[in-house]
Amino acid sequence: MGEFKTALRRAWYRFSRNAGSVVGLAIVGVIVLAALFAPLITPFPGHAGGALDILNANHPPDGRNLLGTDLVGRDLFTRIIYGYRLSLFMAVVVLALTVPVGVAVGLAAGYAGGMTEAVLMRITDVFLAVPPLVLAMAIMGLLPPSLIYGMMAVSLMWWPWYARLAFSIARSLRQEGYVTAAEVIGASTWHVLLREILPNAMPSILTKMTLDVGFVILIASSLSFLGLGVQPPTPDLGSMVAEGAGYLPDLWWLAVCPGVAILLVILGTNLLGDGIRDLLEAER
Amino acid sequence: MSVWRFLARRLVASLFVLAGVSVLIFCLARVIPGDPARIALGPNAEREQVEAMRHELWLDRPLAEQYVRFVGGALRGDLGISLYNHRPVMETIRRTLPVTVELILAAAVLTALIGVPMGIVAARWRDGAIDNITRLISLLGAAAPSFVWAILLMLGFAYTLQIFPIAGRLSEAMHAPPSVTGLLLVDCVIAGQWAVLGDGLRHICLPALALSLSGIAQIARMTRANMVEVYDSAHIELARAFAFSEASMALKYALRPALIPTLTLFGLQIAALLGNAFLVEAVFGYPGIAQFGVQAILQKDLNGIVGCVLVIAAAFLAANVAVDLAVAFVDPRIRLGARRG
Amino acid sequence: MRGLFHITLAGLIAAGIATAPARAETVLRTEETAPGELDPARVSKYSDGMLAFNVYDALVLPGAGTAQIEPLLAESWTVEGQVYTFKLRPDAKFHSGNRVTADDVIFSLNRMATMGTGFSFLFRNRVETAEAVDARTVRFTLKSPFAPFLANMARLPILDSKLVMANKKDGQYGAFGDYGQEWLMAHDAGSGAYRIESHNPQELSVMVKNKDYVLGVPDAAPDVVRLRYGLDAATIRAMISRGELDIASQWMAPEVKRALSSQPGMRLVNEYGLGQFYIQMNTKKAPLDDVHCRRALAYAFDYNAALSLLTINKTTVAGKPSRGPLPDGAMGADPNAPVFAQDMDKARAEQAQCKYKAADSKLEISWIAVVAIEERFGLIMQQSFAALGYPSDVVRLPYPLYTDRASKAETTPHFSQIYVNSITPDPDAVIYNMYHSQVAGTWQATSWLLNPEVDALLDKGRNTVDPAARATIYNDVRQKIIDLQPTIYGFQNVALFVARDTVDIPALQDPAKMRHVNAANFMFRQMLMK
Repeated sequence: MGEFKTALRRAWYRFSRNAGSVVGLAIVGVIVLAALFAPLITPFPGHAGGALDILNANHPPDGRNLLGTDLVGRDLFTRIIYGYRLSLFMAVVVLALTVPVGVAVGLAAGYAGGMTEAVLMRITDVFLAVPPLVLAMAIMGLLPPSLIYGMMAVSLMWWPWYARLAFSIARSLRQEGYVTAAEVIGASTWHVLLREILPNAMPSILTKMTLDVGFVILIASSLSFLGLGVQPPTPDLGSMVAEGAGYLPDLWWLAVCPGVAILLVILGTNLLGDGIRDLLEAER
Repeated sequence: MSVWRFLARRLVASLFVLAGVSVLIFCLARVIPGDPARIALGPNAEREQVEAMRHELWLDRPLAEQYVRFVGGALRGDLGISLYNHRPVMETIRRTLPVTVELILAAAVLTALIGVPMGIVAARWRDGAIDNITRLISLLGAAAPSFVWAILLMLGFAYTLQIFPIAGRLSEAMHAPPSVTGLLLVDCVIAGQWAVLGDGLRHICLPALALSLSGIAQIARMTRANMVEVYDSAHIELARAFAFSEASMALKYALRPALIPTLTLFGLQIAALLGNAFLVEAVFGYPGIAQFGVQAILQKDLNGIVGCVLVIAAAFLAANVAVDLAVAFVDPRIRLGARRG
Repeated sequence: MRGLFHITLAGLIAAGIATAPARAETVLRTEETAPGELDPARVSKYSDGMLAFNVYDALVLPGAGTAQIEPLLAESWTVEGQVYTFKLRPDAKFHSGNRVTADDVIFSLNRMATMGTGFSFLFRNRVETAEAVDARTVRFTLKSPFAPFLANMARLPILDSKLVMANKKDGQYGAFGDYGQEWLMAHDAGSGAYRIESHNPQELSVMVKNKDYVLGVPDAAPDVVRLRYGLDAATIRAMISRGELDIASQWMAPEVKRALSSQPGMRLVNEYGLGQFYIQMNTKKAPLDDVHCRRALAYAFDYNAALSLLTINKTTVAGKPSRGPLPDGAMGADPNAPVFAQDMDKARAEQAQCKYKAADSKLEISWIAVVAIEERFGLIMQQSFAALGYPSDVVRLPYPLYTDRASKAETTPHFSQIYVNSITPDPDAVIYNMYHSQVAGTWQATSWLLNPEVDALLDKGRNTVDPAARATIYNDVRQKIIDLQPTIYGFQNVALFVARDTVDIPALQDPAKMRHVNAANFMFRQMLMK
């Protein structure tokens, strides 16, 4: 127990040496808490859906509405916090769907080699050959618009990156002494993959995951900016920017506030991700 | 391995990948709900006409048969007729792709012109004010999607400060010179139309900057890392001792080694640039392939979607091969074929 | 390099001198949605109509300020039962110099009906025989009496058949090849007041004045018209502020129109009496299969809130209250009928008679993805219906998905929002296409009314030739439909255009000069440059 505490303290020391990481942690922490407790902290929780307050439409930011109101009078601050909720939820779901699939494909290809490698990695190449956003857009354009399909489209373009990563690690570890040793003493393929290779690949995968949270949010908001993905009146940061863009410069807050909100959350996760990467790399 | 053998191998591999992409996107485009024939005919079409159109578009045949016919056409440069604007998809792509290519090239130039010096300056005065500002800029550059930057730049520099035009590719009063390369700015130089060139440059600045910000951030970070290493190394100390000027030292010892990783990073950036071009063009009303692509997607124009995705994939693969060749050219010591993808 | 520059500059100056006109050329610049379809058989949107009304002429024209039909290429006509005889003007010429003949009229009608795109549904399966009695006389014998035929002729642009056939490619129409489709996408074969100089359906059409136009074109009408396509909101706004556009299309958001119209040098002009905003209720889906529930919801809808979204300033609103299925001024409409307005007492009374409980049914309110303001109407519906206890979802549908879902009653949403504009000056074009069983499941007939009485009246309206008798029929069917309440009559649409003071547009400024047909007010020969 004491040892664990010391390790933790050492990790925190390393982490907190970099001011950026701490700022990142603070941003992400505040956003996650705000998103979790959105109904409690937002001034107009009812505005998260299709509420209507036409008399208060298009108000610039003031004391009552911190970030102003939108075209039908909903509080923008409330909607942004609920938008965070959705973005974070999407990021978690997409990573939860893609990481296992991508890692499984990559490990299998890297460890088995031969035909398995050729087939699996060529399929991966196909997915990587189209710029990710373009592929996701095409898929989204073809499917009926909804949150589920949005997450599917983003996931479909995400797993190949993890396949690539896991593949390169597995291939390099295949020749390592301890893997060969495990094979020699007759360990099953499953054992080798899950017990010998996977744990060694974990730090890289975890690092990529923390950095990817921001990237998933970025891609998802880009899709909804083009009108593909989450459906209104569900508050979504990308579609809010898209809607507001048509009303520049008079109703500037409609586009700028959600835009800056996207910037903040990605900035936070990037800083935090960098910090965690430094930490994991130092541990190795 | 000779350059030619390397090139041939990469091209063959790219073709296989492209074939895979075509199967993927073609199948996706046919399994989705919504009848393209009805859409193509307009809102008041009668049932029998829709059936006739389905027949004409081969939509009533098995998927495999449709695909074989499609590939046959594609090999002859025929991607079918757009269901949205009723013109050959290839014709629209031929017209709009150069516009996007020009925007991406401009973004690439800006990335290099801003990113590299930023990295050098940051490394030279490490941990000073400039370094911190550079870091902040590169953090912010990477942190927002290009459409957010596009809107912020538009609001700041076009609406408020009015330094740049708000949207479009040319002012209404300007007329593009005859197309030679398809790239407006190059055509202007060829035709010697300097006023149009100036106007085009003013229009391309903000979209290109919005597109290049995330690249600038990465290039600056990488250049800084490389430069720090170089500045710490012994031969710089030696050079300093011999009183070489700062500029020539930076050029001689730091830039050259930094060139290769920068080029490689560019290769990776192309994918992001192609994708983000869609967003930036949408914000700035830039008449590139994205405008057609987004309409094709929204109007469920099967041929348009398949055509756009294939052409973009091909452009992406070609750009990657080109980057590999450039890397090999810059530094022949790098074994061709060692880098993949 | 410098040498090259000098030569080019000298060349430019020389070219400038050579082409300098005696009087400065006037240019009208406007914009619409992409793509601009130049082929008359592909006309369906406002932008396509603008091209057709300027580049081509039809035999007749929808009347200015009235529901009457005016002569255009036809100088006179007679209607005897189902036989229509048109006498062509002797002096009308196409841009090619060819005379406009009876054969051209027959060719144009056959082409439209055969291709089956655009407005062909106005002409398909109607004509039994078409004959050229002589070069200037054309006679159509219909299969059965069809009163809208004359009004529909206003949407049949007459093509130069010799020119089209000279430019045909191989195609599916036998001796007619591709019916000149490929060529007509970028070239004109018309006789209109403007000639196409260049046409790119995604970007720009340039039209120049036809000096030999048969009706003459006033000197003050623009010499050149530049029609831009598919500009985004920011661009349109920037361009009109800088004076690079003279008229902006009606599709700008009300908030933007408000901001622009208060700037100096700009004003709002309007167009009304053409169409309305309707909310179709799927009468085959519970609870909307009970007329009492439908009436309850129609009474509950907050009409004023919808209009307040369309309010630009104290004097200008982009809509006015509706009186039912037909817009004011249409045959069979009653200018004194009560307007629809919210009445919660009546709504509750109707709800009490409905066999469904409000809380038991979740309503699906759809809106079309590209029409942003429909989302706000959807939200108003949601709020209005919630006051009666109905839970609902507001769902965005991309247009292709909407038409697909609308094709079956089971998949049609409870509520679909549609803007219907008159494409001909006949009430049939609006009301038949919204309610007849024959068209159920198309984009505008999503109420699935399938009512035999309504069908019979609509058929009778088509088959009756006498205008007075028709007016009675359309009055009857209007009242019958209001009684069945398959639709919430949102408002009568008033299209607002931001225009610069550089151009005078009588058709959009003076009700007596307004034509109540989509795009007919954008005949550039009737606009005057200052």
